[in-house]
Amino acid sequence: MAFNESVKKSMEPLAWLFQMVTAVFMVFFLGVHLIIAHAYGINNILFQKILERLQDPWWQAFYIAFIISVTYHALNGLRGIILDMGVKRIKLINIIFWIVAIATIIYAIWLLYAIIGTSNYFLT
Amino acid sequence: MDKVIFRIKKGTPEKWEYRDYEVPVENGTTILDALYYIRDNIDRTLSFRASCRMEVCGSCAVMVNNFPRTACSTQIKTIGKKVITLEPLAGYPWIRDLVVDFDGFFKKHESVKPYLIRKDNPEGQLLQSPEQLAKYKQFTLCIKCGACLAACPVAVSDPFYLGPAALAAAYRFNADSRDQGKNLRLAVVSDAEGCWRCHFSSECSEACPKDIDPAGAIQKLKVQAAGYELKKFLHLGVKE
Amino acid sequence: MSFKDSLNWINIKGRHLQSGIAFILHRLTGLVILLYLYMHLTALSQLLNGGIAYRNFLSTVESPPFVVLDILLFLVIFYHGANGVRLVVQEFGIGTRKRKLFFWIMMVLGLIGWLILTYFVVESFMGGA
Repeated sequence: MAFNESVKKSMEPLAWLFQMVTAVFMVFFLGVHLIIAHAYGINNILFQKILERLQDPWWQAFYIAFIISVTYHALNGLRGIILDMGVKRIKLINIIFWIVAIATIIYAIWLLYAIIGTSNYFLT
Repeated sequence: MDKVIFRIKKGTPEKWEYRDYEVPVENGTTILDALYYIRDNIDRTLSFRASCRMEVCGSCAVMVNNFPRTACSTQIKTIGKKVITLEPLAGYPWIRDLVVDFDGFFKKHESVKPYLIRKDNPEGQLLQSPEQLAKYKQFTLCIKCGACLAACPVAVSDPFYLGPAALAAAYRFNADSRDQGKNLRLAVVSDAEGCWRCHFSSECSEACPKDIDPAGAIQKLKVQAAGYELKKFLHLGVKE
Repeated sequence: MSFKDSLNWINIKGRHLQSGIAFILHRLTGLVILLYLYMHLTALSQLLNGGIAYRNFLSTVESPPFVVLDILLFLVIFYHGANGVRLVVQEFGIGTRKRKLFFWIMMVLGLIGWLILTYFVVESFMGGA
């Protein structure tokens, strides 16, 4: 059983710390996001408005940090749920976790800049 | 005198059923009293573990209406139900009736090195102030009844998880000013099946008959373990 | 232990509201948000199709049934967030004995936050329609 084996190098403490840190970040990120995108009806999420907002590098940084935080937090949470069910293949699950997390982050950041790219011919 | 029905999971993993027993109950009658009454007067085949009858030995924990309690220290009238279901502890290999296999539980306990570790060989007494004692005193009260493990939603799903009792024992020695084996213990509990499987559901602390706070101990252990791993990660020189 | 045992954590029998049930709800709400995250990331690709396609998409999701679903999703998010703030504090070993009080304080704060947001969502939706 796992508890009788000799000490292995474990990334679990850092995974936990990062889960806590992203949790705190997301209170801010998601709070801002909910207010901006939903508390003003559709005024803030009109096509024009979104493209204008995304021109601002601060908003770009906000969304990139948000994407990384939310993806890590959500997928690490799922990884925790799976590991808590007595699954023995921890290494395999960790590899799948990193592949899905990195793919999601790359897709989301690509999408962000693809949307910004369209403003060249939609925003005039 | 009131009567209470005890619905007991009786049999072995291959063949079992719930059987009803009617037991007379007074103020102060405990579940363990009822179990002895059933064995003496109704069904001599009923198996259960018990010894001291006074919440010291930690043998008699059972699931009482789906929650683990020590039978000796649970008074029937305080539950306030006419039908009480008794089952073997959840999360342990079931043997028969109310008896479960504690081997894994004690192996987990042993694995966290629950004893003082000294690098030197001190002569005479190791002194300790009342404040230093207060840091870990509650965790010395653990009677290893295993109720915390049966209450933990992770431990009942994951047989490899170290569980609240073992982790609280690790914290008890890590918080002891006389101990010098903190990092040896952290290396064990910081495993993927150690304290990182705890997400503070805190059912262990709800279940503990000695009112210990194992959930709190595990969180403090996490902070210690994270600090230890972080130092190791940043190559700040950690001595084993 | 079999696969059936792996799902024992989801069993609410004998669990306490501020402990085990809060834990189960935290996980289930987390899973809902995870699912929504991927739906959201997929839906955002509508922005690549230009203003007209996006306006059509917006008129679908800014209709009453979707707004009601949105408000329910906010409840899920506010529960996960309010309980999550408690967990971040308590997972650093702070106030673990006071978990019941802490849980209810966070639930009240979360509910207030949700009601305020819901008020603004409904108000702007009615005004904008």
